[in-house]
Amino acid sequence: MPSSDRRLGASFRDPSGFLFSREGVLYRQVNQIYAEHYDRLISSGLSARLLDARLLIPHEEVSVEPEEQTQAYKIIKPHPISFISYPYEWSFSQLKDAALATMTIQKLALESGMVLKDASAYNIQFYKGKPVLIDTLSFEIYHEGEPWVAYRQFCQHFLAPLALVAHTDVRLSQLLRVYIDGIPLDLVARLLPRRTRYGLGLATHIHLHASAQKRYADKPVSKEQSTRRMSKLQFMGLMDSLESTTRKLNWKPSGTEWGDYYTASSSHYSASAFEHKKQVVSKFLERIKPASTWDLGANTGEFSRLAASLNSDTVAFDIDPAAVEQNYLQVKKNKDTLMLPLVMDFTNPSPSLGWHNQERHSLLERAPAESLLVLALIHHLAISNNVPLLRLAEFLSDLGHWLIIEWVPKEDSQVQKLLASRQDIFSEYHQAGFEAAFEFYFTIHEKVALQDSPRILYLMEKK
Amino acid sequence: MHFQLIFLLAPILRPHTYLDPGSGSFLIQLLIAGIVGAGFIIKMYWKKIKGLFTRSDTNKEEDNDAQQ
Repeated sequence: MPSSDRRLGASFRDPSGFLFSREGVLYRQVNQIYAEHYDRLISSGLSARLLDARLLIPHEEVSVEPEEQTQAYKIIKPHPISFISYPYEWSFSQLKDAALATMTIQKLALESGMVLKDASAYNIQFYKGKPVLIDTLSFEIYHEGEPWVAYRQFCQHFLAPLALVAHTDVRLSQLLRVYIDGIPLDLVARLLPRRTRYGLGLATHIHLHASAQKRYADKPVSKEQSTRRMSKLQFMGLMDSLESTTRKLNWKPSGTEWGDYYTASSSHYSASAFEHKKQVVSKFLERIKPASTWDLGANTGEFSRLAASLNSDTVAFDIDPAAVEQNYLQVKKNKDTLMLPLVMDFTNPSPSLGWHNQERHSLLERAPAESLLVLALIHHLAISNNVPLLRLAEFLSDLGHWLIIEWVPKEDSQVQKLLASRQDIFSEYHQAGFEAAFEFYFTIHEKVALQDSPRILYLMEKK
Repeated sequence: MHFQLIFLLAPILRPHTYLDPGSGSFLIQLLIAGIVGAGFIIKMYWKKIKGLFTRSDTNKEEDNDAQQ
């Protein structure tokens, strides 16, 4: 196998080093070119301080054979992240916390005479509930006078999407999926309301910044301009301004079209049906004891928490950014370490993106989970999105091994709502059709009819 | 133009510096840092003066760390 095949697809831009995988273990090669900076990171105590603050992924130096011998300085083994997620899958506060973590890291780095040489949102991952920097090679020795090389990247990766969500529309965070190096600032400036031109933060870091990019895109820089330097205090002032501009951006799900729906998430059930559902899901989870769980259509994570409470590494997906936001705020409040809420539309899950389609992994490439929770979701996929049950079963068999799924029959009020405005073309949508389709890919181990409800919970295992 | 751009970016063109800072982004941050840098110095001094009159430092801004 050529060595490049073991190098990770997203790890090619920075000559300081790269990630590679050997026998299922992830390593990072530190190249000679970066040796001085790596040593400073360790010897200055910055690495230790960042680890104490839980802002940097822990790593150990190991003596394994380098992937590319001629350039190698050291090999480090970072702690594995249970699920790699991307900024276009995060809720507003997740992205904001990632931005603030980046700024806190930058401040600590400056105190140690170092600086971040990149500020990519993809360098941040959620590790045990908190945003951490996963790229140990992101630091370089600071030289007073020099501007911040990653200023543009921070603005495009963090400030731009946060400002768009806070001031324009939450759906615009999805532009991160289109623009892999952050949202172009001229586009952001056009999409933001006029009032954002009058506050100092966005007026400078977005609007003025966008104009400067346009102005210098095809103009030479004068010699006089090129010799200007930035003092350390000015540098710190710039960081302080980026941080306070980020802090001031807020987004509240209430008052959006989703309104109070999620405060009454159990309203489609009677109290007894809801309690019974929780008991049955818990019983199934206790039986299978999954190491990892994906909750598809998790809403604010009520059932995901049952899995996390059983020590299962849980990802709680929902299509609705408001539900994911509420879930994440709850994770922070509870200091949950096993829950990761993410925005995901299962009718169009995250694709492979970037160079060679290998920089950002599709959802399927990040599968399988050991168990899936598919509760009160099947009708949205099978009826609203017209997915035949057999295809749905096939899809779910690609995502996980165990399946806890709730069958929602046609007579259910929620299905009736979906059918109210359209022709019922779903002749196969009945319990026998559901079981027949799913038995093609799964073995049904248990089924329990919910009390006081027409719905049925199944425990299935992939064949 | 090429000569001038190379001149401008030379200090940061070290082998491990791989990001293109963008000439517009590079120049405008000098201007912005000039504006906000002055405010930052005032803010720092103000904090020090305030610190003289308050007993303990409450670090309200560190809510990021408060998540633990």
